[in-house]
Amino acid sequence: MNSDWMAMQSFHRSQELLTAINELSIHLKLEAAGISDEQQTERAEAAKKRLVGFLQRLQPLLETAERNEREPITGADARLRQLAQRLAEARRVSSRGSSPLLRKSFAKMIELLESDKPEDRKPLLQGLKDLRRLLDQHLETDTRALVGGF
Amino acid sequence: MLWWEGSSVQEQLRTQNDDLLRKIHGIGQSIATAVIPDQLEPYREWLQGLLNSLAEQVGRNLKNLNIAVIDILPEVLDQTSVVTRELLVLNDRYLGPLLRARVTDRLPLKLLTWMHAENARTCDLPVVFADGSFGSWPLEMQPTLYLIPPVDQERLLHLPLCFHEYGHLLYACHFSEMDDVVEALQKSIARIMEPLARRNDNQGRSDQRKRKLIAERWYDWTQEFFCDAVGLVMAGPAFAYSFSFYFRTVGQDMYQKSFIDQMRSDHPLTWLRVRLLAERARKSGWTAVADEIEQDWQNIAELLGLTEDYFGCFDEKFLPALSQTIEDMLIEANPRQATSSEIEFDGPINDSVTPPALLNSAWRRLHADSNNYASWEGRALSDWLSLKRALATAWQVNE
Repeated sequence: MNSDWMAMQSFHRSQELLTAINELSIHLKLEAAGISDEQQTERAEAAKKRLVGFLQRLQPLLETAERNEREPITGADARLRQLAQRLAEARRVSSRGSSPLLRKSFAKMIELLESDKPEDRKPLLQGLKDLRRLLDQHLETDTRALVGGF
Repeated sequence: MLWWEGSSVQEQLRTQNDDLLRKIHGIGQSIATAVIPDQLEPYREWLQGLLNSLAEQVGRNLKNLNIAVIDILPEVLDQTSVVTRELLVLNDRYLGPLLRARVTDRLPLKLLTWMHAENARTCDLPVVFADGSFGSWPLEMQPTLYLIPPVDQERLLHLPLCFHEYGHLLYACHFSEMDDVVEALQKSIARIMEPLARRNDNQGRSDQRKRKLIAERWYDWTQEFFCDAVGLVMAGPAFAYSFSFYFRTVGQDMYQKSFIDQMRSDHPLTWLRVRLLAERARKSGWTAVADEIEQDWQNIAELLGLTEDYFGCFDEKFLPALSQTIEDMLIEANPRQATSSEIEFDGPINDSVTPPALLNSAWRRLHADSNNYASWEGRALSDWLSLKRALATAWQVNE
């Protein structure tokens, strides 16, 4: 039987998350420049909720991956497990920059998403940028599985 | 002037998004004029809605490219990629079934539409199918794309396998609760595999890594066992026969696989699936069905010189927790259960006969008289799809 469903669900999840990252990121930059856009703000709020929900789901998987690489990551499909492992690896090797996604406690990234403080805007943008890069790389496998390589 | 204003990349992105918009409009025109069966109308509406939302996204990209005071080109580039990928997948998988719809699509579409209509969580999700090995693309909020091999689209005997695919959709509709139940099983399996004393040497570390891989793989495998159970609950013995018949001569990897090959597979070993299917059939009172499929697999395994060996990926000790987990998942998903009158159905076929009745009737006919099965199937399909009436109506319209 065909196993594409797993790649398709992962593809859809990553596409949604990337859209959320971009909507929020654009909103934060507009806000910093003093440009208000009501519809963009609404989309950014929805994006924040989507991202917080996802990071809360990812957090225990990442903690397991970082605690002991021989411990099984449970309650998640193969693609989500791979994403958690990829993030754990990125956090292990990251030695520069101030991204909250890669350098600080993972919970800090969730805190930043829930914060409205202007001083949190810059680190949040950095974290979103790293998350986008991670998801873009992760998505390549699913896209290839669904529509083939080029 | 800021660096990105009037830059070549800004112009490239504008051209790219203009092109996306042209593609979206082109696809919209194609699907609007496609001649399709009635059952695909909800799917066409969904596609049109999706195209509208993609066009809105492209519109936002073009608007954002005109914002001069801040640099949002990375975000616009990424959103352009998001839309590009959506269109790639749309073109590759989702458009063909609608643009290439045929009269013979009516059989799978009637079955799939019925399946979705029987459950409150899926009744509003449109169905569609494409050519391919049995499979599905199940998402809670989107139409389900089923994959059905062309040869099986116009015949009855292997359509019961669609009920397994529907199980994946039920999982997706209840995924949070399902994931919790499956996680508990994984932890239970990990505990069962844990040795009384751990060795602190290379062998000990290798064994631990194997146990981790097995426990993780059971996430995917449990969903497959659940989907098999859904198939049996909804379609009855027809599912067990179809499953067994479809896979038993595919090759020896249906019966045995190395540890590494099992770990690479999203599906548990097929022989084990048959065994669990037989156990569930026995619990449902279909002892003869269970004995028959188990014996069929045993016969071929003996011919291949293979014995049951899962290389540690499955242990009899997993069974109580696994069975309980599948029961809990079935309670959560609540698939429609085939009735005894559907399972024993042997009456005349007409368009109101339910799919489980039709499919069980087909398997009974095959067992009773395989020589004349093909002619029976032809008549049954014609009656179930009301083909004569449909043709007569078409003639009247033409006249």
